[in-house]
Amino acid sequence: MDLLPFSEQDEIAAVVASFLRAELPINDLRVNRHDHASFTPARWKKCGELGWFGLGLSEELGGVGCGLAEEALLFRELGRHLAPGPFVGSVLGARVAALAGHSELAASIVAGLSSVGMAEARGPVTVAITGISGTFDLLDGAGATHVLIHSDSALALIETSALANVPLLPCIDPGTRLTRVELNGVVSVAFLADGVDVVLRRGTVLVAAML
Amino acid sequence: MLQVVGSRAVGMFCAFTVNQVRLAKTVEEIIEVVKHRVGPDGRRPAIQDDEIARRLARARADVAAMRAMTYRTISRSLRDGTPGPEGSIIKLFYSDLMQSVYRLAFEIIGADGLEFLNRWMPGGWSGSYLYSPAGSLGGGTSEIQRNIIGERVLGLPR
Repeated sequence: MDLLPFSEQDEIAAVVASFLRAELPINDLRVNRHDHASFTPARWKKCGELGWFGLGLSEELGGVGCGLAEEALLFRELGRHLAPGPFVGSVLGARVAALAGHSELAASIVAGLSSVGMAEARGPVTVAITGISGTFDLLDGAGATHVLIHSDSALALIETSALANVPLLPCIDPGTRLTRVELNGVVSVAFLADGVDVVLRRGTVLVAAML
Repeated sequence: MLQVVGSRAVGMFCAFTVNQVRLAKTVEEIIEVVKHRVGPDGRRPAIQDDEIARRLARARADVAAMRAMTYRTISRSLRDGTPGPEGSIIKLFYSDLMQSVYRLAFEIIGADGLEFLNRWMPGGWSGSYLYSPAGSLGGGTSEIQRNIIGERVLGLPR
């Protein structure tokens, strides 16, 4: 049994690492820590062009067609370089949009034209196809076009344009923007109730790889 | 000169004693919070989680042990007139304990810790957590304390 990465997989990680060293030096994290967003649309598009947001997504769903191993290697490099930006949200968001049948939105996220922050529920929330309610902390919702919301039984993408302009809260991580929103029946643009576990487990693996 | 060194050492020791009291208070605060806060299983209060309860009991015992060591060192200083190298043992113990307590507090508050609250604010555990590594640097790093303990307390060769 050989579980070590193949040379093509190492190659992917090496390309990611050299891009991050050149384009996203760690020092920028401090320099840009007071910016409204932790990333710029131009840079996000570059990451999209490199195929990062669709790396583990099958070709039928508009992705590159690699597996979770390649995606984990990508996230390991992102973690090593403390790369700021909603990477986990965007990779999972592309998958949710694609699986929910919104191929245009999925393509836009994969291309880096849309970006997806993550929402963390604070207290009891409702995540239903009819509407989403409750208080959420948004990680990198500032500057993103969408936010991924999850509960045990559903995943949903909402547009950040549907949210009121909320002030940034000081975050312990200078590379993440924290905001808190109260949602009252916001309707999602993509909703997934099947295979939620699989997507969330994938997220756990990617976060673990990043740490 | 000896007097200056002595008074500075005592001053530092006082500041350090204040930090100890603060740490002891934090442990009690955490214990209060976990009685009401939902634990890792999402159903029961966190105090009913065996791992959290065990770590908190350990923290409380460590705080008591540290206090006892401090009393002993202060008593000895009073008799001898100068603080002895045993202070290094407490300093090293305190730094490690501070880091593990604030790490535990940070784990307990989970996602609530994302918001940075400085350590002087009520519930400012995220700030305390970020500050805690400073404990093993300021006032002589843990490596320096280990050298002092090795050479002057244990009498090991240099």
